[in-house]
Amino acid sequence: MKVKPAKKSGAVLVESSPADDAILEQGERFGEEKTPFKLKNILVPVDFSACSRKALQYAIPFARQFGAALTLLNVVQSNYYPGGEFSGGYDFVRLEKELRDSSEKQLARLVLEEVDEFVPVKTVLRVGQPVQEIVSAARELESDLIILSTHGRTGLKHVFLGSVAENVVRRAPCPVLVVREQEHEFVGN
Amino acid sequence: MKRAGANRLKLHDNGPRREACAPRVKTGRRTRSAFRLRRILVPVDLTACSSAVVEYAALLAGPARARITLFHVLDSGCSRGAPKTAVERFSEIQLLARVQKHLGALAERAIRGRAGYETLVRCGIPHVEIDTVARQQRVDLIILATHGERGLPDFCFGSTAEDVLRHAPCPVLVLPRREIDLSESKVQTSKKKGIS
Repeated sequence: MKVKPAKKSGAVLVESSPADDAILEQGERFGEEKTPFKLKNILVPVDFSACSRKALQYAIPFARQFGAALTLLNVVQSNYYPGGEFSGGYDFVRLEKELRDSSEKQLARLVLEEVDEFVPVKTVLRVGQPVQEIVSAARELESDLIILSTHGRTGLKHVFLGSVAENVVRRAPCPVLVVREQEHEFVGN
Repeated sequence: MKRAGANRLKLHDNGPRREACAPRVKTGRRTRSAFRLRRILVPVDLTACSSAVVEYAALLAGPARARITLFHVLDSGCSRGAPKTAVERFSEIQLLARVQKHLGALAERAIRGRAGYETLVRCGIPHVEIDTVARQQRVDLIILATHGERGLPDFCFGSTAEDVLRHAPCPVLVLPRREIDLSESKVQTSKKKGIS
């Protein structure tokens, strides 16, 4: 079915093909095969910001509700030059190792602080570009859902700073649940 | 605006702020997280992939005992804001009724008693209407699918999913293209079955 604006202003034109009606009539057949709905592994990418903490706080009761396990993923961003003489005197191998160690510690602390004992949780650390690593981790771990948060930038900030969340949504192999940084608490209740 | 709770004690309140459209109502026990799943908004465009989205929503809503609002926006397109004649208004009403019927049929076959639902049709700009309804109904989650357009078409026209993602007042669950492809192939096979 298509709804288009007609030539006359204010009017709309509806096109419905016989195929639409056929689909409607045969609707019962859709449900015959069981959809592979599964919610056992939830991937929660964290960067230890308040924003990502929010996603985690949302993910925990969500996981409890559906009896799922959480995987916390932190990506250590590696933007170094591997070449010897261009390294500018930095020991990138050591730097990366230190970053990894600190991330591991922070992950462990995050689990202690936020996650209660009713939700099974494990942590994963990867090195690379955040979006790529999140997507490939979701694929490798066979995650059923990714829960992440976004800062919700708009306008120019959005154009220049981009959004990890948005890019994950575009490339993810599984459904993605996006939690906004400020929201909801004042919307409902 | 009537002030309640702690707001009553405030002397220098510079009028209603942005969040004033949805006043904060305190209830007895306040949970630490914003997680709640009582009302799920499922905007559908009534294409072949809608069925899979609604089914996903129903399976998610079932265990949480959430209620689904099945929603379709008649895109007013370029005629946005133009004055309407009586005939146009009449055809619009007819159209709304028709879409309502389609939504009902979709809900019936995709939800199949797994969750409570209601259907809603509106005219307007899709992401704006989705945003409005999400605020009005105090929706806890929006579930939608993306067509997964990439490259130039996506850059030029954007996608409703993306606009919703940017403006929604609540968490948004986006289903990827892969799931849609599955359902599309299902449609194909069922069509063939129908012919033979």
